[in-house]
Amino acid sequence: MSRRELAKWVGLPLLALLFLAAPFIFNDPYYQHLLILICTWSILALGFLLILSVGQFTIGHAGFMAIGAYASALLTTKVGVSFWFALPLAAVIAAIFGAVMGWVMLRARMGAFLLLTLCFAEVVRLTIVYWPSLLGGRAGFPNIPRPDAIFGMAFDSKFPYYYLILFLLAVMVFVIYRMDRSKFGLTFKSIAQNPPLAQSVGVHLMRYKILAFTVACFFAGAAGSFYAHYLTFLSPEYFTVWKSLIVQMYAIIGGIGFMIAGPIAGAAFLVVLPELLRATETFSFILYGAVFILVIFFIPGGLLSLPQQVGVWRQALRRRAKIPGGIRPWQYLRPGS
Amino acid sequence: MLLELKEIKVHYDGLEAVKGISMNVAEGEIVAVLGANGAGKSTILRAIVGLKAPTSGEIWFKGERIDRVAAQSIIRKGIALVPEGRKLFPHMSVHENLQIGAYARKDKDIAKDIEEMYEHFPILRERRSLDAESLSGGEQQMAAIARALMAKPDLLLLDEPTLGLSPLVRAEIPKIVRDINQKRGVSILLVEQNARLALRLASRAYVLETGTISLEGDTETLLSDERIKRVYLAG
Repeated sequence: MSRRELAKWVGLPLLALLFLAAPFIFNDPYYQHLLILICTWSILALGFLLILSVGQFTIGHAGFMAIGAYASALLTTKVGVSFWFALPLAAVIAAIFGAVMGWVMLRARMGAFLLLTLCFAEVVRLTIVYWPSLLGGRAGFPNIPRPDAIFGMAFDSKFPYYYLILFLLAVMVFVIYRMDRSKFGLTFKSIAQNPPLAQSVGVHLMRYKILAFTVACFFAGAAGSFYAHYLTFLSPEYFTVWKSLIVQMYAIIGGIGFMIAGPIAGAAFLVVLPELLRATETFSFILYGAVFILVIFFIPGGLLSLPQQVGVWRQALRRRAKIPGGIRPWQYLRPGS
Repeated sequence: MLLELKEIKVHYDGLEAVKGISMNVAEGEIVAVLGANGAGKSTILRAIVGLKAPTSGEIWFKGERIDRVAAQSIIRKGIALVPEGRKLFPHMSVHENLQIGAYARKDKDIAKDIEEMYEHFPILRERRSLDAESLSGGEQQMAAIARALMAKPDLLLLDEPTLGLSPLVRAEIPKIVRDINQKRGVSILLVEQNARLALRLASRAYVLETGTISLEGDTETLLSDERIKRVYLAG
């Protein structure tokens, strides 16, 4: 068996088993809470990377999560829809916002697009803040119902929540995997690597950019809905620009060369790290910044590229040459794309 | 006429890069565009394939006006571009580059045509699973031409195919271009700084100077033109 096959037939099932068994291994509500956060933020970070893979850098992804979260909260409390309908509906609403905003914003170049996504996320947040009668305003949106029991599983412990968000994450991973393996994969690659050439071989750039953006927003909305009913309370403070920036850090620190594993690894690392160090929230921002800088400088391909990076270091030591950089994130961000 | 440009003007940031030029390519012809850096050669190609919209003028291809057609649709009309510089997808294998070259095609013969490209350019078969960026300059040029041919174009636009190639490799380009023209019946619009090579290859040429055509005609006439000799063929 080749190493690749070994990874596929032994590594992947083991990893899947680990994810499935995680809440039993860490059988403590607090650890389980962290596991749930890891899955939630992984969905956001995967979306960020999906958008990056068509050459666009968003820093407003939390805004679409907020749309899903508040849509779901409104649907269940004001309209009286069951959570199980509200979740897909909220995802679709976020996706519609994504498609429309994408249609407008994706026409902009990289730098302008970045600012537009930022502005959009802020507009969403400010709408929540200044519409207290409907959305709760700064005081928050209380009394969001827990999901109704399903398959005899009542949502009275962390277990069902964890498996629900793990399921959503798995669906997203599956969708991205299938896209990557189909003709889409090559098309997305072509857009990221050489947009004008992609266009001249016949790729409709805008269509694929909007598609990637919409898929990412769909799952951000689903994650938002989950988040709302998990916390049973929402505040605009959950969806600030910082959240969007941290989502982007998850993907970059995990390794943007790793389409699926990178964002998940990054989210796991950055959620757990402050806990290990018992950091307060303010301190964890500083910690994130420090980790971010260290990773960019020393492991530019992200944490998952560490094995290759060690190889590069060893080679460099042997040759006593300067360390060549590996893949640096900004090399993916070509001006004018 | 296969391709016809009428009074094309192109502006970059308010600056007129192409100042109302007219040119044409007949079916089965090789036409060269000569000129120094910044004369507007590449801009013309970008305008033809829709990557840069002309500010005024008309472009006609096979009797259809195409100057407002989106870039991704141009290839479906039958025009393929081998751009200057970044001519491949650097982190895709050679094979993937050829595959995506046929992106706009709907037929089932793609695998067969890739095989044919490998017959034609054996070096590409050897390099098929390597990333395009790891190829040498000459190999990249061949891969880029093969990629463009995968779209089965009627007109091939070549932007400085000899730029940055070693003299030895450069000498192979004319044969490749002539082959494509004669065996496949593909018309070619060739942009070159290397006037000697271009004039040997093409049947007609346009000389471009700061956005206007200063000279045009049969290559034989141009080769004996005093100004051409002095400016472009000296040394």
